Amino acid sequence: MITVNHYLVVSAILFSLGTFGVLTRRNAIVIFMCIELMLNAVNLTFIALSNHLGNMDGQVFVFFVMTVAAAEAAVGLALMISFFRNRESIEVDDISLLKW
Amino acid sequence: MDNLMQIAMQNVNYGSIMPSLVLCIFGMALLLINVFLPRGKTTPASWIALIGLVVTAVFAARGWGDPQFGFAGHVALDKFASFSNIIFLFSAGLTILMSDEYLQREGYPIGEYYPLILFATAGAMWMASGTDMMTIFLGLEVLSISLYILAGMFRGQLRSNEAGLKYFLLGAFSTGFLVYGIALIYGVSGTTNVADIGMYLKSHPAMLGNPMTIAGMLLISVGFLFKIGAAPFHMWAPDVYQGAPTPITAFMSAGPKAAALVAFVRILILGLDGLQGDWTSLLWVLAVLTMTVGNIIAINQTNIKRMLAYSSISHAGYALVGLVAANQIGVSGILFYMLAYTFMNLGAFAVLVLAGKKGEENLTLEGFAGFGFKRPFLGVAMSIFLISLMGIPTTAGFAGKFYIFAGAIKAGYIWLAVLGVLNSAVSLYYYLRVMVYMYFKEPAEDYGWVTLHAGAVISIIISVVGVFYLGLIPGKVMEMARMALFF
Amino acid sequence: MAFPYLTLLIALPLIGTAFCLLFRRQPDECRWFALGSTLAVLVISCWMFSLDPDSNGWLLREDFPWIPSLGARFTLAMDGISLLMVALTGFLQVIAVAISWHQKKHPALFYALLLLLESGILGVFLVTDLLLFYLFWEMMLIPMLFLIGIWGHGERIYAAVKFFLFTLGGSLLMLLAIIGLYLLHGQQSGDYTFALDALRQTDCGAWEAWLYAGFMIGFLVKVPVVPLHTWLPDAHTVAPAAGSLDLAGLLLKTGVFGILRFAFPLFPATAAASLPLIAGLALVGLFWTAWCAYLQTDIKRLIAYSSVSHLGVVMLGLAANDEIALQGAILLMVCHGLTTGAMFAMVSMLRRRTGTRNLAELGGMWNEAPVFSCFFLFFAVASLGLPGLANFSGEILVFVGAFRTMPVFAALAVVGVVFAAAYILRLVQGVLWGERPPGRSWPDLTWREGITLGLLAIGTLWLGLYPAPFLEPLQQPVRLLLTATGGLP
Repeated sequence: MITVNHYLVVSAILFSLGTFGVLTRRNAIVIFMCIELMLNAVNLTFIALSNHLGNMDGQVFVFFVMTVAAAEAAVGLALMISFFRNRESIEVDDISLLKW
Repeated sequence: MDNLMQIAMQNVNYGSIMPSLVLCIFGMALLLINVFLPRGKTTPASWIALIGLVVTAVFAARGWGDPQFGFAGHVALDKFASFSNIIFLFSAGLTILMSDEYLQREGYPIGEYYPLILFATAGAMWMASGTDMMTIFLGLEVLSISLYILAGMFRGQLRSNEAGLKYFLLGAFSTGFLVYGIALIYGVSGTTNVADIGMYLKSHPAMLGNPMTIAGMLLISVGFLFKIGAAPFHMWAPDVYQGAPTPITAFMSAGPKAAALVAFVRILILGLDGLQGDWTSLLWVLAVLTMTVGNIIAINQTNIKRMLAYSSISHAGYALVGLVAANQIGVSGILFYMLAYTFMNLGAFAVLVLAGKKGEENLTLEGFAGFGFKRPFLGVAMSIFLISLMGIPTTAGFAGKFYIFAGAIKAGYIWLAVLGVLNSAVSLYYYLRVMVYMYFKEPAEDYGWVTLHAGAVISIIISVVGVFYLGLIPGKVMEMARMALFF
Repeated sequence: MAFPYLTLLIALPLIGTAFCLLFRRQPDECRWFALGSTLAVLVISCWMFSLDPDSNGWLLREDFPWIPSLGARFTLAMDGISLLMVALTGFLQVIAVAISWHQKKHPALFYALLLLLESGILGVFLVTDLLLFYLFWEMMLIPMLFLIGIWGHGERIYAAVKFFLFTLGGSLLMLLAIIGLYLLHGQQSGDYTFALDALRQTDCGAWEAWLYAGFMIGFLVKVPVVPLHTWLPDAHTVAPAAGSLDLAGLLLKTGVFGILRFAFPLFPATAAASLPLIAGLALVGLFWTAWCAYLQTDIKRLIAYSSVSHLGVVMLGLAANDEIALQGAILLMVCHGLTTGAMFAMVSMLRRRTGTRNLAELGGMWNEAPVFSCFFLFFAVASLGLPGLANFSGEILVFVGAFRTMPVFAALAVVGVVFAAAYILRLVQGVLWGERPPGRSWPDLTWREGITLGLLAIGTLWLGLYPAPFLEPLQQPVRLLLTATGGLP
C-alpha cells in the first residue's frame, strides 16, 4: 500500500538531490535543472498532500509553481545566453568578475 | 453553472487589487507604447511610468480609510498593505526619476526597463496585500523575475550579466526552499491561507511540535531571509548590488526588501504565531549575525556601491530586530524604518548615479576625494544621507532605529538592542569615511564631473525632504505605522 | 502665550546658517550674517539676566507638541545655570566669528557650520526633553567634525574621526539609557514621556546603576575625564582657532552641564554614591593632564591639556556635593571658557605671525609685540588662577566647598594648582622671553585682534573682581539640585 508518506519521502529525496546538485554542480544550466528538480519535488509534495487532505488548494498551487517555473526558465535561459555571449562560458566558476 | 459563477464572483473584489491592477495595466500599456516610440528615446516612457505610479498611489491610499478584502481571503488591501504600498511606490518612483539619464549615459536606453519596474512594484504589492501563501508566492515571483531581468539589463556589460545570472540562480534556489516550506505547512494545516494556518495551529497545539511544522517554518524563513539578504543567506547581495545598474541596485535595496519583510511579518505573526518562541530565537541570532557581517565587511570596501550593498545587509539586520521584538513598536518600527531607509538609501544611490560616469569607474572612495567641494549640492545631499544611514538624530535613520530598538527593549531583548547600537557604532566608521573623502581629502585629479540632471536631482530633493521630515517630525508617520498593524 | 524667546535663541543661528549657505558666493555678506546672528543671541541672553525665576527655578519655559505618538515634546526651559551657559555661548561665539574674520578657505561653509554648532550647543543648554536633548547633543557633533576635518592643520582627518567616534560612541550608550528609562517610566506610570520632570519620578530599581552609567559615559567622554580624554588633545592640536575656542569653551561644558541637568537629577541616589569615584577620576585627571601639559612642546597641545586639567577641578566641584563648590564649579566653567578661549585665540594669532607653535622655535615676543605679550601674560596668569582674575574666583569657591565635604581630595587638588603654575610659567617663558629666533618680523596686534582680546580681558576681570551677578542666578538651581542629591545639610 502506497501511502502519502511514501510520496512525501520520495519528494523529500528529490528535493535533497536538487539541493545537492545546485551546491555541487558548476554548469549554470545543470544548476538550473537541479532547481527545477527541487520545484517539481515540491509539486509532488503538494499533489500528494492535496490528495491526502481532499483539498484542492495544493493542486492549484502546483499550477502556479509550474507557471512560475516556466517564466523563470524563460528569463534564466535568456540571462545565460547573454552571459555566454560575453564570456563564452556558462560555468559558474567563470562568474568571477564580482567576488562571490 | 450560473450558480457557480455567482459564488465565484461574490468573492471577487477588484477594489482589493486595484493598485497592482492599475500598475499592471500601465506596465502593459507601456510595453505597447514602447513599440511606437523612436529607438533610444525612453524619456516619454519614464513619464508615463511615473504617472502610473501616481495613479496607483491614489488607489493604494484608498485602502487606508476603506480596507478592501477579496478573492476568498487571498487578498487584503488593509492599512498594513496600504502603508507598504506607499513604500514600494516611493522606491519605484525615485528609481524611475533617477534612471532616465543614467540609461542614456550608459548606452542602454531600453524601453522595457520602466514596465519591468512597474511589474516588480506590482509584485511587491501582492506580497504586501497577500493573505494567502499563493498570492504571496506569486507576488514574490513576479517581483523576483522582473528583478532578474533588470539586474541583467545591460546586455553588453559582463558585470551586469553576472549580476543577473547570479541573482537568478540564487533567487530561484531560494524560491525552491520557500515553496517547499509552504507545501509542508499546507500538509500540516490543510490550507494555504495565512490566517487559517494561524487558526489551525492555535486550535491544534499538538501540531506545533510536529517536525513538519518546524521544517516548514524553517524553510519559509530561509526563502524570505534570502530575499531580505540576511546573513548567512546574504552572499548574493553584494555581488548583485555591485553589478546591477545603479538605479536598480537602489530599487532592490529598498522596495523588494521591504516587500519581503512585510510578507514575512504577515506570515510569521499571523500564520506562525504559535511558533513565535522558535522563530524569535532563530531571528535573534540571524539579526545579530546580519548586522555584524554587513557592518564588518563594509568596513573593508573601497567601492562605494559595494559598501552600500553591505550596509544594506546590515540595515536588513536592524529591521529583523523589529521582527524579533514582534510587538507593536517593533513591527510598526519595521514599516517606519523601511520607509526611512527608502529615502536615505535611494537618495544616496541617486548621488552615485550622478557621480559616476560611463562605466561607473569613479565610484571608488578615491574617486570621491574632494567631491564635496566640486559638487556642493551633491556633497551636502550625500552627507545628509550618510548621516541618516548612520542613525544620527534630526534624520530619518535615527527615528527609525530608535523605534526599532525601543521595540526590542520593550520586548525584553536588551542585549539585542545593545548589540544593535554597537553595530551602529561600527557602521559610523565606514559611512564617515565617505564623508572624509568627500570633504577632507584633496581631489587626486579632475574626473570630469558629470552635470546635474533634472530627474536625479528631483529624486535627491524628495529624499532629502523625506529624510528630514521623518527625522524631525516623525510623529504623524509613526502614528500611521502603528495604525497599519493588523494585530 | 508668551513670545518663544528660547526657540528664537536656537533659531537665530540656524537662520544665519541658511543665509550663509544661500549666499555662499559672497563671503563678505556671510561674515556679517554670522556676526549679526551671534550678536543677536548675545544681546537676547544678556537681556535674560533681568528675568525673575519661578518657584522651580525656571526663568523661561516653552512647550510645544513634537512627536505625540512617542510622547516627546519640544520643551525648552532656562534656569540660572543654563542662563550662564547660554550667555557664555553667545559671548564666545561672537569672539569665534571675530577671530576667524579673514577665513579664506570656504568662508561661507565655515560660518554656516559655526552657526549650526552654536544652535546645537544652545539647544543642549535649554532642553528638558530627553529625546530632544539627544537630538541637539548629536547635532553639535557634525559641524564640529567638519570644522576640524576641513579647516584643521596637520593630522586633521585622524583627529576629526577620533573626535567623532569617541563622542558618538559615548552618546550611543546614553541613547540606550534614555530608551531604557523611557520604557521603564512608561511601564510604571502608563505615561510614555521624555519629560525630565516626569522621568525623575521613575523608580529604576536594579537598572538604576546601568542607566546612570550609560548617561555618565556619554557625558564624561565629552567633559572629558581621564581616561576618556585622549580625543581632546588631538582635536585641539589640529582644529582651527574658532573650532578650538568652541571645543574648549563650550563643547566641554555641555558634558558637565548634562551631568548637572540630567544625570544627577534623574538618578540622585546612585549619583550620590558615585561621587567619590568621580572625585577620584577628577583628581587623577587633574594631575595626569597637568603633567602631560608640562611635557608638551606644542603650545596648543599644552593649553588643551591644561583645559582638561581645569575641567578636573570643575568635576571635583561637582563631586563635592556642596553648595559653594557647585556654584564655584559652574562659575569656573564660565571663567575657563573665557581664559582658555583667549589662550586658543592667541595661539592662532601667534601661529599666523610665526608659522609655528613649537615652544622651542618661539621666544622673545615681549620685545617684538608688546601689546600681544601683555595680553598673553594676562590670560596666562588668569588661567593659572591669579587672585583678582577669572579662574581664581571659581577655583577658590570649589576648594572652599570641597574642603567642607572631602578635605583630602580638596587638599590634593590645591597641590594640583601648583602643577598648573609650572606649565603656565614654562609657556610664558618660552613664548615671551628668551632669544627671538631669526626670521621675518612679528607684527603686533591689529585693532580687530586687540578689540577681541580686550573684550575677553574685560570679561576675565569682571568675573575675577565682581562675580556676584553671575553667582546670583545660580543660587536657586544649585539648591534645588543639591536637595535631590542630599548635598544640603
